Amino acid sequence: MGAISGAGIGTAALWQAARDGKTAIGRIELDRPGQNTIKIAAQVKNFDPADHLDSTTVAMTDRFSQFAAVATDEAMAQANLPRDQRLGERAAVIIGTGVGGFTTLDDMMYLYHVTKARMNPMTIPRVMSNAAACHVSMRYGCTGPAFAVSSACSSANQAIGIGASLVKSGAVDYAIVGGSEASITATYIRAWELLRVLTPDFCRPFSIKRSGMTIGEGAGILVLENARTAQARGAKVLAEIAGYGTSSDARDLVRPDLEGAAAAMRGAIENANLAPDTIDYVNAHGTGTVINDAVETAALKKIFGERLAKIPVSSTKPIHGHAIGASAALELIITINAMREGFVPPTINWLEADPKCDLDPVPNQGRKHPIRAAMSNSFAFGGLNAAIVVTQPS
Amino acid sequence: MSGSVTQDRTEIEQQLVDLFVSDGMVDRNAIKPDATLESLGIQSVDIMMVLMSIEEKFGVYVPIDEKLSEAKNLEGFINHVIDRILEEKQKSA
Repeated sequence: MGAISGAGIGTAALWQAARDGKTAIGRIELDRPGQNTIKIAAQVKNFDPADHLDSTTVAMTDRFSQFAAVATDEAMAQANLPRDQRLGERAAVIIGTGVGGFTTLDDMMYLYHVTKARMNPMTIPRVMSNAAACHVSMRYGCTGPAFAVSSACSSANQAIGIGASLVKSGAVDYAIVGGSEASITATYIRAWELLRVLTPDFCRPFSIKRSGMTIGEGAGILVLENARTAQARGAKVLAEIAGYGTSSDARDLVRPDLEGAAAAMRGAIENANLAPDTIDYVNAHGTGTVINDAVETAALKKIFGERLAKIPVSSTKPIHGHAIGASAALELIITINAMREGFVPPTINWLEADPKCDLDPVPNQGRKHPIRAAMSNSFAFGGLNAAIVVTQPS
Repeated sequence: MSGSVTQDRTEIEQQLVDLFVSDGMVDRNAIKPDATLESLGIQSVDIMMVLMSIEEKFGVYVPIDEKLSEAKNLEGFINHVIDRILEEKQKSA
Protein backbone atom coordinates (compact mmCIF):
# COMPACT_ATOMS: atom_id res chain seq x y z
CA MET A 1 0.00 0.00 0.00
CA GLY A 2 1.12 3.55 -0.66
CA ALA A 3 -0.32 6.93 0.25
CA ILE A 4 0.09 10.65 0.08
CA SER A 5 -2.26 12.78 2.10
CA GLY A 6 -2.43 15.97 4.08
CA ALA A 7 -0.83 13.92 6.85
CA GLY A 8 2.31 13.58 4.74
CA ILE A 9 3.99 11.21 2.35
CA GLY A 10 3.54 7.52 3.09
CA THR A 11 0.99 5.18 4.62
CA ALA A 12 2.73 5.38 7.99
CA ALA A 13 2.02 9.13 8.28
CA LEU A 14 -1.60 8.59 7.24
CA TRP A 15 -2.20 5.73 9.66
CA GLN A 16 -0.49 7.49 12.52
CA ALA A 17 -2.63 10.60 12.03
CA ALA A 18 -5.81 8.51 11.79
CA ARG A 19 -4.96 6.37 14.80
CA ASP A 20 -3.99 9.31 16.96
CA GLY A 21 -6.84 11.52 15.75
CA LYS A 22 -4.48 14.20 14.54
CA THR A 23 -6.00 16.36 11.82
CA ALA A 24 -4.17 17.37 8.66
CA ILE A 25 -6.66 20.17 7.99
CA GLY A 26 -5.22 23.66 8.01
CA ARG A 27 -5.27 26.97 6.24
CA ILE A 28 -5.20 26.67 2.47
CA GLU A 29 -2.03 28.00 0.86
CA LEU A 30 -2.24 28.82 -2.83
CA ASP A 31 -0.35 30.93 -5.38
CA ARG A 32 -3.71 32.34 -6.46
CA PRO A 33 -5.69 32.30 -3.23
CA GLY A 34 -8.91 33.90 -4.52
CA GLN A 35 -11.43 35.36 -2.13
CA ASN A 36 -13.19 32.34 -0.80
CA THR A 37 -15.10 32.18 2.44
CA ILE A 38 -13.79 28.70 3.16
CA LYS A 39 -10.14 28.93 4.12
CA ILE A 40 -9.39 25.36 5.23
CA ALA A 41 -8.49 22.05 3.58
CA ALA A 42 -6.27 19.03 4.14
CA GLN A 43 -3.61 20.05 1.68
CA VAL A 44 -0.47 18.09 0.86
CA LYS A 45 2.17 20.61 1.82
CA ASN A 46 5.87 20.62 1.00
CA PHE A 47 5.47 18.17 -1.86
CA ASP A 48 8.20 18.72 -4.42
CA PRO A 49 7.73 16.23 -7.25
CA ALA A 50 11.42 16.56 -8.15
CA ASP A 51 12.27 14.83 -4.87
CA HIS A 52 10.54 11.68 -6.12
CA LEU A 53 10.31 11.70 -9.91
CA ASP A 54 12.69 12.35 -12.82
CA SER A 55 12.46 15.71 -14.59
CA THR A 56 10.79 14.33 -17.75
CA THR A 57 8.01 12.73 -15.74
CA VAL A 58 7.54 15.91 -13.71
CA ALA A 59 7.24 17.98 -16.91
CA MET A 60 4.66 15.59 -18.36
CA THR A 61 2.41 15.27 -15.35
CA ASP A 62 -0.19 17.06 -13.30
CA ARG A 63 0.03 16.90 -9.52
CA PHE A 64 -2.60 14.12 -9.39
CA SER A 65 -0.45 11.82 -11.56
CA GLN A 66 2.62 12.71 -9.49
CA PHE A 67 0.76 11.75 -6.32
CA ALA A 68 -0.30 8.46 -7.92
CA ALA A 69 3.25 7.65 -9.08
CA VAL A 70 4.78 8.35 -5.68
CA ALA A 71 2.11 6.35 -3.83
CA THR A 72 2.57 3.49 -6.31
CA ASP A 73 6.32 3.46 -5.68
CA GLU A 74 5.67 2.99 -1.98
CA ALA A 75 3.10 0.25 -2.59
CA MET A 76 5.30 -1.61 -5.09
CA ALA A 77 8.32 -1.42 -2.81
CA GLN A 78 6.25 -2.92 -0.01
CA ALA A 79 4.97 -5.63 -2.38
CA ASN A 80 8.57 -6.29 -3.37
CA LEU A 81 7.90 -5.69 -7.08
CA PRO A 82 10.78 -3.56 -8.39
CA ARG A 83 10.45 -1.33 -11.44
CA ASP A 84 12.93 -3.22 -13.57
CA GLN A 85 10.75 -6.31 -13.33
CA ARG A 86 8.22 -5.23 -15.97
CA LEU A 87 4.88 -6.73 -14.94
CA GLY A 88 3.57 -7.26 -18.48
CA GLU A 89 0.12 -8.19 -19.72
CA ARG A 90 -0.94 -10.00 -16.56
CA ALA A 91 -1.01 -6.67 -14.71
CA ALA A 92 -3.83 -4.10 -14.67
CA VAL A 93 -3.75 -0.48 -13.52
CA ILE A 94 -7.02 1.11 -12.47
CA ILE A 95 -6.87 4.48 -10.76
CA GLY A 96 -9.87 6.56 -9.83
CA THR A 97 -10.07 10.34 -9.86
CA GLY A 98 -12.86 12.86 -9.52
CA VAL A 99 -11.60 15.58 -11.83
CA GLY A 100 -8.14 14.45 -13.03
CA GLY A 101 -5.66 17.22 -13.80
CA PHE A 102 -7.67 20.08 -12.40
CA THR A 103 -4.63 22.00 -11.14
CA THR A 104 -3.11 22.08 -14.61
CA LEU A 105 -6.45 23.07 -16.11
CA ASP A 106 -6.79 25.93 -13.64
CA ASP A 107 -3.21 27.08 -14.34
CA MET A 108 -3.67 26.94 -18.09
CA MET A 109 -6.96 28.79 -18.05
CA TYR A 110 -5.32 31.49 -16.00
CA LEU A 111 -2.42 31.72 -18.49
CA TYR A 112 -4.77 31.82 -21.45
CA HIS A 113 -7.48 34.13 -20.20
CA VAL A 114 -5.64 36.36 -17.76
CA THR A 115 -1.92 36.61 -18.40
CA LYS A 116 -2.21 35.79 -22.14
CA ALA A 117 0.95 33.74 -21.81
CA ARG A 118 1.76 30.53 -23.67
CA MET A 119 -0.06 27.42 -22.50
CA ASN A 120 1.88 24.25 -21.76
CA PRO A 121 1.91 22.07 -24.90
CA MET A 122 1.37 19.04 -22.66
CA THR A 123 -1.86 20.43 -21.22
CA ILE A 124 -4.12 17.71 -22.61
CA PRO A 125 -1.97 14.70 -21.60
CA ARG A 126 -1.55 16.25 -18.15
CA VAL A 127 -5.22 17.04 -17.63
CA MET A 128 -6.80 13.82 -18.89
CA SER A 129 -8.36 11.71 -16.15
CA ASN A 130 -6.57 8.55 -17.29
CA ALA A 131 -3.14 10.22 -16.99
CA ALA A 132 -2.40 8.76 -13.54
CA ALA A 133 -3.23 5.21 -14.68
CA CYS A 134 -1.10 5.67 -17.82
CA HIS A 135 1.95 6.94 -15.94
CA VAL A 136 1.76 4.10 -13.44
CA SER A 137 1.35 1.55 -16.20
CA MET A 138 4.42 2.96 -18.02
CA ARG A 139 6.37 3.13 -14.80
CA TYR A 140 5.94 -0.57 -14.02
CA GLY A 141 5.47 -1.96 -17.53
CA CYS A 142 1.89 -3.07 -16.93
CA THR A 143 0.56 -3.87 -20.38
CA GLY A 144 -2.77 -5.37 -19.33
CA PRO A 145 -5.96 -3.33 -18.89
CA ALA A 146 -5.27 0.23 -17.70
CA PHE A 147 -7.88 2.91 -17.23
CA ALA A 148 -9.37 5.53 -14.96
CA VAL A 149 -12.61 5.30 -13.05
CA SER A 150 -14.31 8.62 -12.55
CA SER A 151 -17.22 8.37 -10.14
CA ALA A 152 -16.59 11.38 -7.92
CA CYS A 153 -16.26 10.27 -4.27
CA SER A 154 -16.72 6.59 -5.14
CA SER A 155 -13.98 6.51 -7.80
CA ALA A 156 -11.32 4.73 -5.75
CA ASN A 157 -13.64 2.10 -4.28
CA GLN A 158 -14.90 1.28 -7.76
CA ALA A 159 -11.32 1.13 -9.08
CA ILE A 160 -10.33 -1.20 -6.24
CA GLY A 161 -13.46 -3.32 -6.68
CA ILE A 162 -13.01 -3.70 -10.43
CA GLY A 163 -9.32 -4.54 -9.96
CA ALA A 164 -10.18 -7.17 -7.35
CA SER A 165 -12.79 -8.66 -9.70
CA LEU A 166 -10.24 -8.88 -12.53
CA VAL A 167 -7.75 -10.64 -10.24
CA LYS A 168 -10.40 -13.01 -8.86
CA SER A 169 -11.67 -13.90 -12.32
CA GLY A 170 -8.14 -14.85 -13.37
CA ALA A 171 -8.02 -12.17 -16.09
CA VAL A 172 -4.88 -10.73 -14.48
CA ASP A 173 -2.48 -11.70 -11.69
CA TYR A 174 -1.77 -8.16 -10.51
CA ALA A 175 -3.83 -5.01 -10.26
CA ILE A 176 -2.43 -1.68 -9.15
CA VAL A 177 -5.52 0.15 -7.93
CA GLY A 178 -6.62 3.16 -5.94
CA GLY A 179 -7.38 6.81 -6.46
CA SER A 180 -5.73 10.19 -6.79
CA GLU A 181 -6.95 13.75 -6.48
CA ALA A 182 -5.11 17.06 -6.47
CA SER A 183 -7.62 19.74 -7.21
CA ILE A 184 -7.30 22.29 -4.42
CA THR A 185 -7.43 25.55 -6.31
CA ALA A 186 -9.42 28.65 -5.44
CA THR A 187 -11.91 27.91 -8.22
CA TYR A 188 -12.42 24.33 -7.05
CA ILE A 189 -13.01 25.36 -3.45
CA ARG A 190 -15.34 28.10 -4.68
CA ALA A 191 -17.30 25.54 -6.71
CA TRP A 192 -17.73 23.42 -3.58
CA GLU A 193 -18.70 26.50 -1.59
CA LEU A 194 -21.54 27.09 -4.00
CA LEU A 195 -22.94 23.69 -3.08
CA ARG A 196 -22.91 24.91 0.55
CA VAL A 197 -21.61 21.61 1.84
CA LEU A 198 -18.25 22.87 3.17
CA THR A 199 -17.96 23.68 6.84
CA PRO A 200 -16.40 27.03 7.66
CA ASP A 201 -14.82 25.55 10.81
CA PHE A 202 -14.82 21.91 11.91
CA CYS A 203 -15.76 18.75 10.07
CA ARG A 204 -17.54 16.67 12.74
CA PRO A 205 -19.18 13.57 11.25
CA PHE A 206 -22.12 11.96 13.09
CA SER A 207 -22.05 14.75 15.69
CA ILE A 208 -24.67 17.23 16.61
CA LYS A 209 -23.92 20.72 15.21
CA ARG A 210 -22.09 19.31 12.22
CA SER A 211 -21.98 21.78 9.39
CA GLY A 212 -20.36 20.06 6.45
CA MET A 213 -17.19 18.61 5.05
CA THR A 214 -13.63 19.77 4.36
CA ILE A 215 -11.81 19.11 1.09
CA GLY A 216 -8.60 17.09 1.04
CA GLU A 217 -6.19 15.78 -1.58
CA GLY A 218 -3.75 12.95 -2.05
CA ALA A 219 -3.48 9.45 -3.44
CA GLY A 220 -3.92 5.94 -2.13
CA ILE A 221 -2.62 2.94 -4.05
CA LEU A 222 -2.95 -0.78 -3.32
CA VAL A 223 -1.29 -3.68 -5.09
CA LEU A 224 -3.70 -6.58 -5.49
CA GLU A 225 -2.31 -9.97 -6.33
CA ASN A 226 -3.68 -13.38 -7.12
CA ALA A 227 -3.24 -15.63 -4.07
CA ARG A 228 -1.42 -18.26 -6.12
CA THR A 229 1.36 -16.00 -7.43
CA ALA A 230 1.61 -14.19 -4.10
CA GLN A 231 2.17 -17.50 -2.38
CA ALA A 232 4.59 -18.74 -5.02
CA ARG A 233 6.87 -15.72 -4.64
CA GLY A 234 6.44 -15.54 -0.87
CA ALA A 235 4.81 -12.10 -0.90
CA LYS A 236 3.68 -10.65 2.39
CA VAL A 237 -0.11 -10.41 2.22
CA LEU A 238 -1.61 -7.56 4.25
CA ALA A 239 -5.30 -8.26 3.72
CA GLU A 240 -7.78 -9.85 1.38
CA ILE A 241 -10.19 -7.79 -0.69
CA ALA A 242 -13.09 -10.10 0.08
CA GLY A 243 -16.08 -8.28 -1.37
CA TYR A 244 -17.16 -5.38 -3.55
CA GLY A 245 -20.61 -3.93 -3.98
CA THR A 246 -21.71 -0.97 -6.04
CA SER A 247 -25.04 0.62 -6.90
CA SER A 248 -26.62 3.67 -8.45
CA ASP A 249 -29.46 5.53 -6.74
CA ALA A 250 -30.90 6.64 -10.07
CA ARG A 251 -32.66 9.47 -8.24
CA ASP A 252 -30.96 12.76 -7.41
CA LEU A 253 -27.55 14.15 -8.35
CA VAL A 254 -26.68 15.46 -4.91
CA ARG A 255 -29.10 14.00 -2.35
CA PRO A 256 -27.96 10.66 -0.93
CA ASP A 257 -30.38 7.76 -0.92
CA LEU A 258 -30.79 5.17 1.82
CA GLU A 259 -31.69 2.28 -0.49
CA GLY A 260 -28.75 2.86 -2.84
CA ALA A 261 -26.25 3.08 0.01
CA ALA A 262 -27.64 -0.06 1.65
CA ALA A 263 -27.57 -1.94 -1.67
CA ALA A 264 -23.84 -1.28 -2.12
CA MET A 265 -23.06 -2.45 1.44
CA ARG A 266 -25.25 -5.53 1.11
CA GLY A 267 -23.62 -6.30 -2.23
CA ALA A 268 -20.12 -6.07 -0.78
CA ILE A 269 -20.93 -8.32 2.18
CA GLU A 270 -22.69 -10.90 -0.03
CA ASN A 271 -19.87 -10.77 -2.56
CA ALA A 272 -17.48 -11.59 0.29
CA ASN A 273 -19.67 -14.60 1.21
CA LEU A 274 -19.87 -13.27 4.73
CA ALA A 275 -22.72 -12.77 7.16
CA PRO A 276 -23.16 -9.13 8.27
CA ASP A 277 -22.32 -10.13 11.84
CA THR A 278 -18.71 -10.84 10.92
CA ILE A 279 -18.11 -7.16 10.09
CA ASP A 280 -16.36 -5.72 13.14
CA TYR A 281 -15.54 -2.23 11.88
CA VAL A 282 -16.93 0.20 9.32
CA ASN A 283 -14.95 3.12 7.93
CA ALA A 284 -17.88 5.33 7.01
CA HIS A 285 -18.26 7.69 4.11
CA GLY A 286 -19.12 10.12 6.94
CA THR A 287 -18.67 13.44 5.18
CA GLY A 288 -19.94 15.52 8.09
CA THR A 289 -22.91 16.91 6.19
CA VAL A 290 -26.22 16.67 8.00
CA ILE A 291 -27.88 14.57 5.36
CA ASN A 292 -25.08 12.15 4.45
CA ASP A 293 -24.42 11.05 7.99
CA ALA A 294 -28.12 10.57 8.82
CA VAL A 295 -28.77 8.62 5.62
CA GLU A 296 -25.62 6.52 6.08
CA THR A 297 -26.68 5.68 9.63
CA ALA A 298 -30.12 4.61 8.42
CA ALA A 299 -28.55 2.48 5.68
CA LEU A 300 -26.14 0.86 8.16
CA LYS A 301 -29.11 0.06 10.41
CA LYS A 302 -30.80 -1.63 7.51
CA ILE A 303 -27.79 -3.90 7.07
CA PHE A 304 -26.76 -4.53 10.67
CA GLY A 305 -30.01 -4.04 12.62
CA GLU A 306 -29.58 -3.83 16.37
CA ARG A 307 -26.00 -5.02 16.20
CA LEU A 308 -25.04 -1.65 14.70
CA ALA A 309 -24.81 -0.22 18.21
CA LYS A 310 -21.94 -2.63 18.88
CA ILE A 311 -19.95 -1.97 15.69
CA PRO A 312 -17.43 0.87 15.73
CA VAL A 313 -18.18 3.11 12.75
CA SER A 314 -15.72 5.93 12.31
CA SER A 315 -15.20 8.62 9.74
CA THR A 316 -11.57 9.58 9.24
CA LYS A 317 -12.44 12.49 6.93
CA PRO A 318 -11.80 15.10 9.65
CA ILE A 319 -8.21 13.76 9.60
CA HIS A 320 -7.35 13.59 5.88
CA GLY A 321 -10.21 15.66 4.52
CA HIS A 322 -12.50 14.53 1.75
CA ALA A 323 -10.01 13.77 -0.99
CA ILE A 324 -12.86 12.95 -3.43
CA GLY A 325 -11.47 10.47 -5.99
CA ALA A 326 -8.67 9.43 -3.62
CA SER A 327 -10.74 9.32 -0.46
CA ALA A 328 -11.94 5.73 -0.62
CA ALA A 329 -8.37 4.50 -1.20
CA LEU A 330 -6.98 6.49 1.74
CA GLU A 331 -9.82 5.14 3.87
CA LEU A 332 -9.31 1.54 2.78
CA ILE A 333 -5.62 1.83 3.67
CA ILE A 334 -6.65 3.10 7.10
CA THR A 335 -9.22 0.29 7.38
CA ILE A 336 -6.62 -2.37 6.57
CA ASN A 337 -4.22 -0.89 9.12
CA ALA A 338 -7.03 -0.83 11.69
CA MET A 339 -7.73 -4.51 11.03
CA ARG A 340 -4.08 -5.48 11.18
CA GLU A 341 -3.45 -3.60 14.42
CA GLY A 342 -6.81 -4.37 16.02
CA PHE A 343 -7.27 -0.68 16.69
CA VAL A 344 -10.16 1.47 15.45
CA PRO A 345 -9.43 5.11 14.60
CA PRO A 346 -11.65 7.83 16.07
CA THR A 347 -14.11 10.28 14.57
CA ILE A 348 -12.61 13.52 15.81
CA ASN A 349 -14.28 16.90 16.49
CA TRP A 350 -17.30 14.96 17.75
CA LEU A 351 -19.35 16.94 20.28
CA GLU A 352 -22.48 15.04 21.20
CA ALA A 353 -24.70 12.32 19.81
CA ASP A 354 -27.17 13.26 17.09
CA PRO A 355 -30.30 11.11 17.56
CA LYS A 356 -30.32 10.62 13.78
CA CYS A 357 -26.83 9.11 13.95
CA ASP A 358 -27.30 6.63 16.76
CA LEU A 359 -24.25 4.51 16.16
CA ASP A 360 -20.86 4.23 17.82
CA PRO A 361 -18.66 6.76 15.99
CA VAL A 362 -15.62 5.99 18.18
CA PRO A 363 -15.84 9.56 19.45
CA ASN A 364 -12.58 11.51 19.59
CA GLN A 365 -10.43 8.65 20.88
CA GLY A 366 -9.42 5.49 19.05
CA ARG A 367 -9.40 2.18 20.84
CA LYS A 368 -8.34 -1.44 20.65
CA HIS A 369 -10.88 -3.63 18.96
CA PRO A 370 -10.30 -6.98 17.26
CA ILE A 371 -11.46 -7.00 13.62
CA ARG A 372 -12.19 -10.13 11.59
CA ALA A 373 -13.63 -8.26 8.62
CA ALA A 374 -14.16 -4.58 7.92
CA MET A 375 -16.10 -2.52 5.43
CA SER A 376 -15.25 0.85 3.87
CA ASN A 377 -18.06 2.93 2.34
CA SER A 378 -18.13 5.63 -0.26
CA PHE A 379 -21.14 7.43 -1.71
CA ALA A 380 -20.71 9.85 -4.58
CA PHE A 381 -22.56 12.75 -6.09
CA GLY A 382 -24.51 11.33 -8.96
CA GLY A 383 -25.87 8.73 -6.55
CA LEU A 384 -23.05 6.24 -7.08
CA ASN A 385 -22.30 4.04 -4.08
CA ALA A 386 -19.45 1.59 -3.55
CA ALA A 387 -18.37 -0.50 -0.58
CA ILE A 388 -15.38 -2.78 -0.09
CA VAL A 389 -15.09 -5.56 2.47
CA VAL A 390 -11.65 -6.66 3.61
CA THR A 391 -10.70 -9.65 5.73
CA GLN A 392 -7.58 -10.86 7.46
CA PRO A 393 -5.34 -12.76 5.04
CA SER A 394 -6.15 -16.47 5.02
CA MET B 1 -32.82 49.51 19.25
CA SER B 2 -35.22 46.61 19.05
CA GLY B 3 -37.29 48.69 16.67
CA SER B 4 -34.47 48.94 14.19
CA VAL B 5 -33.72 45.22 14.42
CA THR B 6 -37.38 44.45 13.72
CA GLN B 7 -37.29 46.85 10.83
CA ASP B 8 -34.10 45.21 9.59
CA ARG B 9 -35.71 41.79 9.80
CA THR B 10 -38.81 42.82 7.87
CA GLU B 11 -36.72 44.46 5.20
CA ILE B 12 -34.37 41.51 4.84
CA GLU B 13 -37.29 39.11 4.85
CA GLN B 14 -38.85 40.93 1.92
CA GLN B 15 -35.57 40.81 0.03
CA LEU B 16 -35.23 37.09 0.74
CA VAL B 17 -38.74 36.39 -0.50
CA ASP B 18 -37.83 38.26 -3.68
CA LEU B 19 -34.78 36.02 -4.07
CA PHE B 20 -36.91 32.91 -3.66
CA VAL B 21 -39.16 34.18 -6.45
CA SER B 22 -36.38 35.25 -8.81
CA ASP B 23 -33.74 32.58 -8.18
CA GLY B 24 -35.70 29.74 -6.62
CA MET B 25 -38.35 29.95 -9.37
CA VAL B 26 -41.15 30.00 -6.82
CA ASP B 27 -44.59 31.37 -7.55
CA ARG B 28 -44.99 34.50 -5.41
CA ASN B 29 -48.61 33.65 -4.64
CA ALA B 30 -47.61 30.28 -3.19
CA ILE B 31 -45.27 31.86 -0.64
CA LYS B 32 -46.62 31.50 2.88
CA PRO B 33 -44.61 31.27 6.11
CA ASP B 34 -45.72 27.71 6.83
CA ALA B 35 -45.16 26.47 3.28
CA THR B 36 -42.64 23.64 3.17
CA LEU B 37 -39.84 23.79 0.59
CA GLU B 38 -41.27 20.59 -0.91
CA SER B 39 -44.73 22.12 -1.30
CA LEU B 40 -43.16 25.04 -3.16
CA GLY B 41 -41.48 22.60 -5.53
CA ILE B 42 -38.01 23.80 -4.54
CA GLN B 43 -35.29 21.33 -5.57
CA SER B 44 -31.87 21.04 -3.94
CA VAL B 45 -30.42 22.93 -6.92
CA ASP B 46 -32.85 25.83 -6.42
CA ILE B 47 -31.78 26.15 -2.79
CA MET B 48 -28.16 26.40 -3.88
CA MET B 49 -29.09 29.16 -6.34
CA VAL B 50 -30.94 31.02 -3.59
CA LEU B 51 -28.01 30.62 -1.16
CA MET B 52 -25.59 31.87 -3.81
CA SER B 53 -27.73 34.96 -4.37
CA ILE B 54 -27.92 35.50 -0.62
CA GLU B 55 -24.12 35.41 -0.46
CA GLU B 56 -23.81 37.88 -3.33
CA LYS B 57 -26.40 40.25 -1.90
CA PHE B 58 -25.53 40.07 1.80
CA GLY B 59 -21.97 38.72 1.83
CA VAL B 60 -22.92 35.86 4.13
CA TYR B 61 -21.94 32.20 3.72
CA VAL B 62 -24.78 29.98 4.87
CA PRO B 63 -23.91 26.26 4.90
CA ILE B 64 -26.77 24.04 3.85
CA ASP B 65 -26.21 22.08 7.03
CA GLU B 66 -26.65 22.60 10.71
CA LYS B 67 -29.61 24.87 11.50
CA LEU B 68 -30.71 25.39 7.94
CA SER B 69 -31.28 21.67 7.54
CA GLU B 70 -33.60 21.75 10.54
CA ALA B 71 -35.87 24.38 8.99
CA LYS B 72 -39.28 22.82 8.59
CA ASN B 73 -40.77 25.50 6.37
CA LEU B 74 -40.06 28.73 4.57
CA GLU B 75 -40.37 30.77 7.74
CA GLY B 76 -37.75 28.62 9.50
CA PHE B 77 -35.43 28.86 6.51
CA ILE B 78 -35.78 32.63 6.19
CA ASN B 79 -35.44 33.21 9.93
CA HIS B 80 -32.19 31.28 10.05
CA VAL B 81 -30.78 33.21 7.10
CA ILE B 82 -31.82 36.51 8.70
CA ASP B 83 -30.11 35.48 11.94
CA ARG B 84 -26.92 34.76 10.01
CA ILE B 85 -27.09 38.07 8.14
CA LEU B 86 -27.63 40.06 11.33
CA GLU B 87 -24.88 38.08 13.05
CA GLU B 88 -22.42 39.02 10.30
CA LYS B 89 -23.62 42.63 10.35
CA GLN B 90 -22.95 42.82 14.06
CA LYS B 91 -19.50 41.28 13.60
CA SER B 92 -18.49 43.85 10.99
CA ALA B 93 -20.13 46.74 12.89
